[in-house]
Amino acid sequence: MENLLEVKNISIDLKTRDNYKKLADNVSFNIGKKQSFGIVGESGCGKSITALSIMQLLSYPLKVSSGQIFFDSKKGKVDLLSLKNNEIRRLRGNEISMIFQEPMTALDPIFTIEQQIVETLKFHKDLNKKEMKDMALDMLKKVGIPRAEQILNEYPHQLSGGMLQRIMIAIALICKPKLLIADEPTTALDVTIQAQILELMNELKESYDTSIIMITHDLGVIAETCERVAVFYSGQVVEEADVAALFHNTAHPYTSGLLKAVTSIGDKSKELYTIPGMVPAGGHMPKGCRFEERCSKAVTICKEKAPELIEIEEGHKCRCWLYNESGDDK
Amino acid sequence: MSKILVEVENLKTYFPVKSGVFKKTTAYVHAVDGISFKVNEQETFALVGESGCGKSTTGRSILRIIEPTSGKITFDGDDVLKLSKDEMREKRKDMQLIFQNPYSSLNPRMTVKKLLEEPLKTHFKMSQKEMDEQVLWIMDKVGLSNDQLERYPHQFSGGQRQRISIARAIISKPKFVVADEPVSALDVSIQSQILNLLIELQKELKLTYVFISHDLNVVRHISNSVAVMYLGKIVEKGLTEEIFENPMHPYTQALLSAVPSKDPLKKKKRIILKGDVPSPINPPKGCPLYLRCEKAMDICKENNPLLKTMDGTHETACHLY
Repeated sequence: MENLLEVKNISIDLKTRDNYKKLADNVSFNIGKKQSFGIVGESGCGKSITALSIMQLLSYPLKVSSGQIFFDSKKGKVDLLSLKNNEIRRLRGNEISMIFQEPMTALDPIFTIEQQIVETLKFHKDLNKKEMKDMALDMLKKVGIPRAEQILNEYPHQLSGGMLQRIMIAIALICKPKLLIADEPTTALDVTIQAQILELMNELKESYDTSIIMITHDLGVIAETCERVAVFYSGQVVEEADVAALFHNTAHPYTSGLLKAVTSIGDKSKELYTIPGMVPAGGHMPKGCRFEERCSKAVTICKEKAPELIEIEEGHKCRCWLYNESGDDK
Repeated sequence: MSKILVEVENLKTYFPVKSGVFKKTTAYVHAVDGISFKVNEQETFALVGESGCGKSTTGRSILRIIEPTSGKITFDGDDVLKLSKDEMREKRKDMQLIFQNPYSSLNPRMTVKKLLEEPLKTHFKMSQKEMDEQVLWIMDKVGLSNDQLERYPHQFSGGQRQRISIARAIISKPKFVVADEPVSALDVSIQSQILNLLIELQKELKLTYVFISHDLNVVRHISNSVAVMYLGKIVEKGLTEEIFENPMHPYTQALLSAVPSKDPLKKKKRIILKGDVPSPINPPKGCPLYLRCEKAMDICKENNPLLKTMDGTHETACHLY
């Protein structure tokens, strides 16, 4: 498959006068055209900032310290990190869009829905007022908003969370971007509304041929929507695989721990499975594997040397000393 | 059959909506609209539902943190709503609340020790030595170490803060604890640690829980019986197994089917509810689910169904049955 986005060895630092932390460490992954790619991990594992770096949305004290992000734009392949401000602005909202976690705070409370949708069009497309309004109306109908004509003139506080998230999706997709980054799009919503939104995103992905990066902490959402998944732990990718392989042929002890913690819920006979301990604090990284302290399968080498992310099977990468290049258990 | 510790009968909590220059009350938000349930001693009763369905208001009304409009709440033989302010304060020793967000429910200017001593000072007349003993005992119970006593809340992670909140709630040795979404703000791997802790504490200290949550998996794990709430009313209630094995109300069925599956190879058939929850200011005359329900009939529009016993302890409010 052709790649739409290639993230190569990205490191992100938090740097102030008296503080230095590496929040993402040598992160690499590729996203194919029309692929839905999941990034899963717990809070503070670096998943959101990695996504923000793609659109150059990091601000002080966060900074990308090394690496490249190649994107296959309309004008050919570009390194997003080397683009100037006005160049990346041409891409944002046009070829790459983003949906944020909290629809209640992501929209501007003092503008009507129409103004907020049209804003994107005004900047990227050369259209007259009537055309823009028609497009906005059309888009609202596509994301399943009832009484779309009235809603255009309403303000965000008049609508519910699920409706606002639909509007966010409408704004993100109105220029038909090639890549949609969704940062926990359903975390703030109720389950029944979450089901509606995930269904909508799956439908729109098919009809718009958009690639999606789905950032979430919920393995259930990943199972429902993604084709390929990267598991983040403490700023690193620890496992990357196709979704079926990740759930049924889990390699990394952290991933299997997460899965066990989720699936053992509901079985009352047993105590819930827990991963002992906590994520290491940023800035005080152990010399060896970052998961070593919490891992039940840790051996001596885990403490001394950090494992590399290697391919253990075709298309299945894992960062763990339990495996070597050929994929056998050591 | 175990003893009933808490009994709620026809509880209603309305909030006035004020508007105009004179702040006249023009309408009421029917947050909790006539619900009844019983909680057995040393069991866990779960309230589930989406945001705005009134589950947290119910929890708070039982403890009279929000004053209910009408109804009857019996706790351990006493009518809670008839108690005076002082008597209520005395009673709160036995009925406590664990809050949802451990980031905002702990005073950032108090050390852990001070935070834990506060409920003791409110409810008991203890010497400093007795308090110290009590604090050390609870720290050990919730899995925190003694050298953390002089630290402030911001020095702890979310999971640890929730342990402090739990410690604060149970240090006065209550019989009854309302846990209002105690794990919603936490990561998955931490969630299970806290749930295990709550179950352990229940066994050891013989606690009775009302567990409020929107997460059906968590509810299934922790509770003995469940009530599903929608728009201020209970639409289905029964033993946990009954509800999860054989959901009868269309809303419960949709809620269960909306939970994402844990297996990418098994796609489940979804019942997708259309639209949003109607406003609780002017709840519809008929069944509150009428506009969103696939199985709606003519009678649903006119008549609000009442809870009917299906079999044994399983009750549901739907015209289908």
